[in-house]
Amino acid sequence: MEEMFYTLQDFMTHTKGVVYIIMGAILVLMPLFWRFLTDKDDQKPTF
Amino acid sequence: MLQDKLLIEKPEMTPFNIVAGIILLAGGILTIMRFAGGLGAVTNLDNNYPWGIWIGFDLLCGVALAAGGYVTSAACYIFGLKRFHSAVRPAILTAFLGYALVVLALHYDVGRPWRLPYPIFFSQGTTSLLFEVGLCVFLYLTVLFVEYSPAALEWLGLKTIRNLVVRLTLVLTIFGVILSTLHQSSLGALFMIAPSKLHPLWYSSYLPVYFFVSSIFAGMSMVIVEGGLAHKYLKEKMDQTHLDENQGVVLGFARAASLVMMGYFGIKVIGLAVDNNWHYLGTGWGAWFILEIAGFILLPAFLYAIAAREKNMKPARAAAWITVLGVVLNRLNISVVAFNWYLPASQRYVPSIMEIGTSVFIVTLGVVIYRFITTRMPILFEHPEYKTEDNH
Repeated sequence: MEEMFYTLQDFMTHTKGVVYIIMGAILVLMPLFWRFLTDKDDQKPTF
Repeated sequence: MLQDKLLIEKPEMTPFNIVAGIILLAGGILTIMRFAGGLGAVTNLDNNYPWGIWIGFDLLCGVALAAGGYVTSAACYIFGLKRFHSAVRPAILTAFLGYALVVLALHYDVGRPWRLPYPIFFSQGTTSLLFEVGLCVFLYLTVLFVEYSPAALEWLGLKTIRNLVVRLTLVLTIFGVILSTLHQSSLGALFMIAPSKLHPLWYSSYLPVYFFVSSIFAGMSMVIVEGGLAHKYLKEKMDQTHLDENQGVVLGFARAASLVMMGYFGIKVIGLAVDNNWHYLGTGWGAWFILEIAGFILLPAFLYAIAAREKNMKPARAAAWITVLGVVLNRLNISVVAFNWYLPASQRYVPSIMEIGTSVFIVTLGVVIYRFITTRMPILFEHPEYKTEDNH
């Protein structure tokens, strides 16, 4: 069921809040994913 | 050894040659039909769908999949990852042919090819995104031609001009990255003019960002796909350097593509959240959207990650094919499938067999020209006369 928003303020507060939570999750998950990608590498620079 | 690489076999009646010949012949007939009879003679386009698969596939997919050129040359010359050097020439050639065929395909859609210079030289629509795309493609095609030309000049033995062009490599690479950033994103921005026509799951104010970011992993995947095909069918044209560096290129690109795809997934989810489009995920369109994201973004990203982690080429090659298909699906979803999504089935656009035939003709033309060039010019091997210097 789609939520009802009566003002733009309500809509922005809701969507911004969700985006902030997702951003927080991305900030935590991306370094973990990078570790998953690289943890079997030799300990030397890859460039 | 050079003689072996440069040896040109006489055309034979191989299955590939026969099929390609038939397709090119049919394409020639379709070309005459299109330019003699107009769009109505060969397409199912109408006022609801002025753009069909010639834009959705030939142009949008062609430009995205040709992104390997700027990605590979930027990795090698700007980021200094010289271990990708052997992949630069094939990637530049693929990009050059890709863009040249995009321009060719555009003629079929736009018509009146003799007026091609008009938007650039006579009547600039500086407030139009299409003008920006046209200008960027015009400039970038020129850049790609110059970037590709050392191979042709080595083949022709024009050493002086070749050495002059090679000095421009870094400038051209930087110019290429700037132009690609501009027009890859602008192609996405084109659809921002139609917020009421494109399904909300695909429409987003982030469309330019989506198109640009997806072009990065599309380009890398295309380099892996094209490298795999070249290894299978043109192995005798490859030198030892090319063969030795192949694994590093595939695994390096797999890692980078994996990370970029995860980032892309992140911004796609943010796009959903910003517009509060979650409720559409429970519909049929939502299932189609989830298939695109889970099957053609998350799955290949995970396969790429496994490949990079385990140093295994097989998952990377599979992921590259899935990603290429996923980018094609995404571009077709935005330009055709989810466009005018609310129309009844009877009014929806389905490409005619002749439109599909023309697209197949253009792709085949690209493959034939690619094979013509790689069997003659130093693309998959280094010309021995230029091997000692920093080859480009």
